[in-house]
Amino acid sequence: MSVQYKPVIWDRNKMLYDVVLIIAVGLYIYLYLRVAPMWANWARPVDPQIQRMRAFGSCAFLMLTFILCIGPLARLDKRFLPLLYNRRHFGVLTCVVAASHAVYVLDWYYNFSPTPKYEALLNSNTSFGLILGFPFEALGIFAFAILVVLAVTSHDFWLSFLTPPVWKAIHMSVYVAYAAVVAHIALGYLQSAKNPTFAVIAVGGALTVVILHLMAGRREGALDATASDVTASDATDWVRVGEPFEILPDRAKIVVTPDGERVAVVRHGDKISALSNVCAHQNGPLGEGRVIDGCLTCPWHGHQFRPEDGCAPAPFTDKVPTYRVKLENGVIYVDPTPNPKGTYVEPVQLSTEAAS
Amino acid sequence: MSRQDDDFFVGYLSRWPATLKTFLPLVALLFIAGFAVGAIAVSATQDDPGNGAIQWGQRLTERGYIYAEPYPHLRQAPTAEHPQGRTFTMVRAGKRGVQDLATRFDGQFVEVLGVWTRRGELEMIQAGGRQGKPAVAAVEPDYAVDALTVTEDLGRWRIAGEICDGKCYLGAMRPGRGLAHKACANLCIIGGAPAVLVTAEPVEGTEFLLLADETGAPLPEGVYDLTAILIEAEGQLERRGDLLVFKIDFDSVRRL
Repeated sequence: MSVQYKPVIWDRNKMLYDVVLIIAVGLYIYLYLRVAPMWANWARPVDPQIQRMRAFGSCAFLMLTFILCIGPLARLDKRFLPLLYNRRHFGVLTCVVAASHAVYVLDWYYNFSPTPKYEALLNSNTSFGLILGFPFEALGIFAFAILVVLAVTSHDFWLSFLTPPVWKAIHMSVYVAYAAVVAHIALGYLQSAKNPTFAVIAVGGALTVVILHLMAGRREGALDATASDVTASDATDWVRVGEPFEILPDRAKIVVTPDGERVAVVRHGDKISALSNVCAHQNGPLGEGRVIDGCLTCPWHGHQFRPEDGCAPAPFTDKVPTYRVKLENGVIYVDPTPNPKGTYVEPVQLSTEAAS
Repeated sequence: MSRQDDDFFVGYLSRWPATLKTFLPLVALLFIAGFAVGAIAVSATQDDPGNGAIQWGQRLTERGYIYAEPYPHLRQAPTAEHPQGRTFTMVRAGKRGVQDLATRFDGQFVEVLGVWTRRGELEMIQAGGRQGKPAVAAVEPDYAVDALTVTEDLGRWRIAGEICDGKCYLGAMRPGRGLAHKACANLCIIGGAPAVLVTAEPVEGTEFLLLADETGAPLPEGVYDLTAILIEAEGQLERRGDLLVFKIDFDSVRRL
């Protein structure tokens, strides 16, 4: 968390994360270009420029595939949550690798011609009406443009400037970029390659992304179903949460309102409060976080909010909506109508016995 | 924030929860290993691009009759070693043809300087001047034009294959064919490199046919939609020296 816009706020975990990324990418490029060709069965080697464009292109595809797997993996197994922490650096590096691929393509296939290379990129193949022969480069350009936008707007300045909903909507376009990249590969390189190795990796990668998202979506649906207990409480439409001890100490239980909104009902000390489950930073699942130093802490990037009023501790200014809570006959209920962000709500005070 | 629970990761706190102390390094290791294995698997199994290449070290000086259409080529009279005579297609360096020079000297006996682009038995001249000498210059003929073999009409054929630019196919790029190379092929043909048909099956002993339209002129712009894919076309086949020229009936072209 920061109130200043620094280019990069480094910490030990971000550095470790980036070191692993750079080792993986560096090793990939080195092995691809320097080691593996020794085992290739060639009469003459593939042009070095084409090898480079293939190395960076395939690496960018694998990176993007892995990036898109992190979200559902973290939904399915919380041990993967740390991979989310610095995913933006992963995305920016992917954009850089994709840019290297684009530069090698441009400087080889589109160079040495009477037609200027940027003009050639756009008009050397205009068979848009064909499937086989479709200018798959256009799909790559489209995907790359999206990656550039995502990389440029990845900083928290843009998150704050654009507001989290807009920023999140823009960054969901990574799925459009990935679909374009898959089509770029399928209509380009895979149509020319006789050896199926990369086809297997590309199809396998894309299927993995789809399957993991389906699995995570199914799990989320099941959680929503179990969390949607809207049984009315004594002629009111408050949402039943359950008995206080069902919520673990310093944890939250997520319930779903009739409108489909998720609410994090937090047990902090001997009190219970309710907040929006959506983190003000990047829409992370606040209710899956933990109370640390009296604040509910988001599991994605560690942004914190006080359970009573939904405000981040000073000097931070982020806020989330709060909800009214009540305890009736030993059962906690939540008013499904959200309060404005940062509204103080008196917590339910548990008896010492219940809290222990 | 001063403390951290044992099973909850907060990125900006240095200490890792106990449950992740083994898991995260293992994930990092598998991630790096996966990328390493992926690099080797993808790179080592790239297709063989063939043995074609520009023979930069082998400067050539060839003499013969130059013709501009359908694409510039140089014809030589028969010899004991080459009883049909020899015919070389011609380009310049880069994605450029020699139409200007071939048109200027069309039908004349010339001396050509340059280097070879060679794939197996197939050869193409990449014309280029050196030491102040021009790439193509008219010279006193070594033999009369009658010494060339007569162009032989081989009849009407239906042939399947892939339209490529002759220069990249012969080794200016490795690989120099296929859909990934389509835009480059179009650029080369636009620039003046000869359009060729690399046939699916050998035709009269070769898989390399120089293409022309029905009148013997260069292919029209419609060829750009047909490059790099498997097509079938009908047309007249003729032999010029040891080179086959396939005059395509464009209305008969079918994508396979």
